[in-house]
Amino acid sequence: MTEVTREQTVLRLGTAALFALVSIYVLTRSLGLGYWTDIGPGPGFFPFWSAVVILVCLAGWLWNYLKPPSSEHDEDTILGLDADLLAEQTSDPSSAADVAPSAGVVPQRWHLLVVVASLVVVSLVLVPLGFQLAMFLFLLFHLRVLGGTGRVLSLLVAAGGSFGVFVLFTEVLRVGLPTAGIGLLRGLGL
Amino acid sequence: MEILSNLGMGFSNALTPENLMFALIGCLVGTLLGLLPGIGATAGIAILIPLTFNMELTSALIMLAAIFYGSAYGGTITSVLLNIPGESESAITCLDGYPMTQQGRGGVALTVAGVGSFIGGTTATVALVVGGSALSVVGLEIGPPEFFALVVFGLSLLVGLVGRSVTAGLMSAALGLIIAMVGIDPVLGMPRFTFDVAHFFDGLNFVPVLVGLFGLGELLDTALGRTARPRAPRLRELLPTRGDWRRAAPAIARGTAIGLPIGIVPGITNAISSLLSYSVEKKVGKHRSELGTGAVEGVAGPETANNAHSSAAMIPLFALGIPASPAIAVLMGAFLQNGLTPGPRLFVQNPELVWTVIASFFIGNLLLLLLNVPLVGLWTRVLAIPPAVLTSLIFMFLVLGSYAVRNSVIDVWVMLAFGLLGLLFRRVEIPLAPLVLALILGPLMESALRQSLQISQGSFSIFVERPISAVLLAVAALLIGVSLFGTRLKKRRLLPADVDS
Repeated sequence: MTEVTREQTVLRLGTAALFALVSIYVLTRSLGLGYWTDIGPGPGFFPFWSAVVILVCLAGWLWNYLKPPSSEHDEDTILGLDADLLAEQTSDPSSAADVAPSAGVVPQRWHLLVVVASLVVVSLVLVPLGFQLAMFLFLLFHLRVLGGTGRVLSLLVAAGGSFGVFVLFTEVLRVGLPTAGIGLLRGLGL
Repeated sequence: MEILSNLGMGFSNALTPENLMFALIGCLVGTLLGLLPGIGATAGIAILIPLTFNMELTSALIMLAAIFYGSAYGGTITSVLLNIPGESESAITCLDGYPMTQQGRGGVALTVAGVGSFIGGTTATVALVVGGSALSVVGLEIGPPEFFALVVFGLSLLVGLVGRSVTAGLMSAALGLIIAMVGIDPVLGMPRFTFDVAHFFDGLNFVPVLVGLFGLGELLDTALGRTARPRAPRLRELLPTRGDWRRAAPAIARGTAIGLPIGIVPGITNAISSLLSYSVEKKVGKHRSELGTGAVEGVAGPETANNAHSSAAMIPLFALGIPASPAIAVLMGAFLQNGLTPGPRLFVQNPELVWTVIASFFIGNLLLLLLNVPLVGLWTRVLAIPPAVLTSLIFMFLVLGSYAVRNSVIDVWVMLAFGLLGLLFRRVEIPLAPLVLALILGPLMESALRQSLQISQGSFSIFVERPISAVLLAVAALLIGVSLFGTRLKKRRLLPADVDS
């Protein structure tokens, strides 16, 4: 089994487990909510059947993935078009020519984890630090550390994307954004 | 005659400086969203919905609709210049659009695509004007059983015809229905799946859910993707020759004839229209042997079909209250968020709003034609902005858009959770489109089902006794059955994994 296949299998089984857990929870909970009432279906009726659909389809989905590959030869056209070319165009945009790597400086999986972690952190500090400071630091981290962008450009974009956007949204568009929960920062207008 | 006077009223409202400005903003933002990697119309419209809370409703809807059809133009630019389809419906444009760029004729491809899109979009909007109000009369006769059947039919078309796995599509739709059930039960008033968190009593707001699934999910999926910097075509390179027009005109006509009727059917997506149009060109085009090597028909046909489809897809939304694609579902969400339910009653209850929005479609298509072709140079410069700058700003907007819906960090967490789910779905090829449609339509679908069963005192026979619902449910069952077991449709690996893939 190749690395890619192993990763795919782990992902598929993980997804299946997630779906199974959600649907079993919904199934049991919906019976508690009331499947049927005097005036017709209860609050649990619709979720119950949605969960049943998931469980039934999940079995089919896993079976399709785990069963041995069919020896049947795939048709090579769809709507009269060349299948391989089409599959390439619809599923692999990175096949494009003249494509240059972006300025990422960390390996892909780590990059993904760091991006997710940074989003978790920014949502944690959004209320105590306020939108402006939290977003300024977030943008600076993404631009400088993850993106390797120049110092001046990073500062300009981070300031515009935090302080500038705050003013635009709160003053012009009248959309509320969080100000700092910490008194000292609030005093500084953050 | 009444239609013309209604449309006239719509134009007089849509042509006010304020509404014109919002149509223009929508067109520009839509094109930008179509261009940028990692964010499309669905997430873009969802992010911008909170911004519209303080706007006049008509202006807000004009802007959001313009974003929707503007994004298709942006997707074309990346398909032609970079060989990267911004949206799945633009994928087929790469086949001839990119070779045209390699031959130094990328500008011609974009101009022909722009004109074709304008013709297709405008013709379909005329059909919306004529057919929408007529169909809405039929729509007024539709009761809860028929509405429930119609939604099931739409979902079955989406699940049956799009995506590589029917079972995955059904799972996605069912999960969308469950997510839609979170909150207070509308009939008995008891909380469902809220985990006793007061924030969830109002349900999971669709904005952070969709921003997560389509915005963050896509961005994480392409976290370290590769980005290209195209060369902007010079102005004289934008002008097609007389020969180009002679070859493109029949393809544009065929593309319109294909995209318009297919767009009306709920659940069938633009990608199908584009593919079918290319397939027809391959069969009947005068220069069919040149397709795939940079033939102008290969751009004109699919791009026209795609835009005709997009505008025609508004017909089921306005006439029946059924969105045909995830992006239109989000647009429907914007209506719902403002207390309006799209559907046949809207023509009766809010004729001014409906006709103004419809009139704005004509204006928007014209604006896109007038602005985008000359602005190709500007758009290519946008693509030259360092990817780190673009992605970090998009992340900022994802957080901002999610927070601003209800001024709550909980919605940012919801967005994050669904972003990870969106990433997982992409990796294992579970389509997101059925989830979105089910999420938006779920509450309406459940209430239609419960109302139907209350009418029939609990008997499911109501769905087969009423002819419209019986036919729709039978066709839906047939479609799912054929998709699951039919031999030809088993070759689904050839289909796009998702509508917005």
